[in-house]
Amino acid sequence: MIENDGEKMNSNNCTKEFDDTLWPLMGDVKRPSRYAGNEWGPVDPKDTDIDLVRVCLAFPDVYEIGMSYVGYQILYPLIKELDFADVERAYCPWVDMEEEMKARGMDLVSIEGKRRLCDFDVVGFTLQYELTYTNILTMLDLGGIPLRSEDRSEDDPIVVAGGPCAMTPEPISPFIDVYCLGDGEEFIPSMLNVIHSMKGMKRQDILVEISRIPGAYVPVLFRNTDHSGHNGPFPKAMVKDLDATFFPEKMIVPSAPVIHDRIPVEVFRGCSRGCRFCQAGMIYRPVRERTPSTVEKLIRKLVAETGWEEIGLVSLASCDYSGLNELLQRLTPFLEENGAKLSLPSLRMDTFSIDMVTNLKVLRTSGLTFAPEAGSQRLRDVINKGVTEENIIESLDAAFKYGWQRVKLYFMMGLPTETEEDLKGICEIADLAFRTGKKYKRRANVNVSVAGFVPKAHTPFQWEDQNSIAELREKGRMLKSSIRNRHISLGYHEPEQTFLEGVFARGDRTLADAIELAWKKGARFDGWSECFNLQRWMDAFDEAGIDPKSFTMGRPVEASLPWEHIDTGVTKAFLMSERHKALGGILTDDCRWSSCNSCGLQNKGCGWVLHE
Amino acid sequence: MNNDNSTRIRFTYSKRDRSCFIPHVVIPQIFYRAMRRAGLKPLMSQGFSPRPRITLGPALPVGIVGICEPAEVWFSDLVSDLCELINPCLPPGFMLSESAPVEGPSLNKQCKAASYRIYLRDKSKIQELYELLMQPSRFRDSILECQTDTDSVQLMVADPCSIGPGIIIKYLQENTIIRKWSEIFVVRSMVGGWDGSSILPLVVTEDR
Repeated sequence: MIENDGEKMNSNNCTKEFDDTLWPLMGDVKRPSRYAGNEWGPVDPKDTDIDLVRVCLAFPDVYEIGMSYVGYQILYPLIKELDFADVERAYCPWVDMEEEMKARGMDLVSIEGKRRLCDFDVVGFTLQYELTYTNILTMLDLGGIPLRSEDRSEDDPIVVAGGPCAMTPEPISPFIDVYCLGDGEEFIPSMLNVIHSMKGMKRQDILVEISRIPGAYVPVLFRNTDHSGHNGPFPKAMVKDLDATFFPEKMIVPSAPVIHDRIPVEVFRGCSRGCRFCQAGMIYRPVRERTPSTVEKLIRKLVAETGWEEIGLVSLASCDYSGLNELLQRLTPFLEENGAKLSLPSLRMDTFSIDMVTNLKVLRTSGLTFAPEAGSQRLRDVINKGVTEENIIESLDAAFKYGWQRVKLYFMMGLPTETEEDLKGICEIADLAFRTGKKYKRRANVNVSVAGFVPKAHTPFQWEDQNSIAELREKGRMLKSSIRNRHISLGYHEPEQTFLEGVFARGDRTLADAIELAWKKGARFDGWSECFNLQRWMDAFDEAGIDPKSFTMGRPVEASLPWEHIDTGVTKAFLMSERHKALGGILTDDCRWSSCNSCGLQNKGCGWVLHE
Repeated sequence: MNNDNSTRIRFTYSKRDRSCFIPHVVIPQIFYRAMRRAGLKPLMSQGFSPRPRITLGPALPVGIVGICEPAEVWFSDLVSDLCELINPCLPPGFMLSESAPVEGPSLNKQCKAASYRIYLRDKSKIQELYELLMQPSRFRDSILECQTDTDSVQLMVADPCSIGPGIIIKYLQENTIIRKWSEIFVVRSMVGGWDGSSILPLVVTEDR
């Protein structure tokens, strides 16, 4: 009878859900699991009377993307372990939720303690991608924090930003109080220590003190005549021994579905390949590895603690991990017994070998991703992507022979010196992949993704011209129409978004006004094609008196660059030399396995330099 | 023990607060990970892409509280204190209440009835809601019982695998009892068997 269940009901007190202020909103928006939280992991706010430094790690995109970011999985337990600090998280509400929140006057609060962002001492953003900048403004606004650094009062949190785009800080520097350049593991505790010990003191004095920490860049002090010695260059923070550096033994396991749903274990940081288009390869130098025994220990602990059934080995080029074979040997029995699988993102076609593949049982076998980047050997040599025709043939062969059904291939269009021949080469490689798959009687689905090349700061191509929207669209259409095989799908990034990315990637401080204007006009989630609207941005640029093309254009090597005050450790001389070699199609070897190329890090702690 | 040398254990769980917005389709994965944390190893399915053998009862749409939802898991050996082992390893919002080994027909075949409580923010409409449910509709014949008090309507519906709460809520929206999600709150208090007059629990332990 119904009475029995009535007793259960009263004792279960259903009104707590009904009274949850977010509950009705969650029912009316898309993908409400984004706002559910309720994860497994070390997420309980500290229960203490001590005056803690409260940090909010704010990810400027939706939950399912933010939860896949390894950086916060590292920083969160790192901060939790400090006895004078506590940490919570916030993600950017989707446009429908933002609208609902605004209509009801609701603030953006952290997931764990439901604390308004303005009630934290520090709000930290990670700058993973230029097209997330408007989301930062959304979160500041909904969180009750003045958008501009100059408008923040003594009570407002210190707004910090890190991640790869921090190396080109200027487009959003009016909104940011402190940039963390480079590795956060040592910088963050130092910064929090300063904030803790200076609690109650003036904001400006705290910022000056923080600016002394290696890796700090405080925009408000830059070239400020009141504070001498803040003219730069600002060197990045760098942990020397990654093996000895903090890596968590607990992680937050989402309940909601997320993009990368696995344990991320960073096996090495940095890259010595020297691909000339790649910013990450330049700014994360030098290579620092964790030893296989450390990685094994971490994996065993994390599998037991999190219950995750998949582990991703994170790095810029997973097969370049010198300890990979040893690691696979050590782990295979454990993984087989436990039922866990490994995934190896970021494969390179020149080191993806059959040795690796024989550890097949513990690897995920749905699809493999490779990035040849350019369709011809000539162009691959220009960009120094040391992948030969033979490497391509062999790695595709190995992939399909050993059981993979699908491959995903990444390319770029608009690279320097590119010709139509080079673009045709993309279709030829896709075709080769299909034929190889069929040879081994696989489904042989080939998925090709082509991105418009965006010249990045701090790379040898930082002076290059970016292809226009029209040029990229024409190339993309040409490529798409050249594919006749229905098992090969080819997609290309929206050229308008590529254009905007290029504006921010090499922009300066004048862009901040345009970003704020565009945001006020409703620009959100610009990386998502369903939200992107170029006209809104062009109107904003116009109102701000900016010609966006001035940032995507090529520039002379003598020109002063709006990021040259940020020191990644790589010298301008090296970048110029690499550019010169690129135009001649001359290769530069991987310095770890040949001689030092004198990129600049040899004097700044690179452990790979061999002293003759 | 079953023929294929496995033990099938049925358990009931609740899904509360914001975890109600975790989609039904990922719940097996949530239980699987909790079991792994507890050191348990459910049996895996055969085939190309093995999955843990965890089956859920009728789907509970997001936004609806579940108090006594059924599910099953297969192990190689009997696990006698499943709830005590798994509960400390579950994320917030989920909790196991009972478990017992079972045999016989599949879980879905044994789900014959589900009981609900429907609350409205506008209490003055409760009587109207009750009367609307009593009128002819595409699921009227499946309503086994319906009562009301000042706070809510309590409803018992047959065939929960075909007639889920989504159908009922849609009907209420079509008849403008409610327009938006914020106006209603639904709890599924139990999914069970039916003996003609009462809803029967699907997990029967020795204590009962």
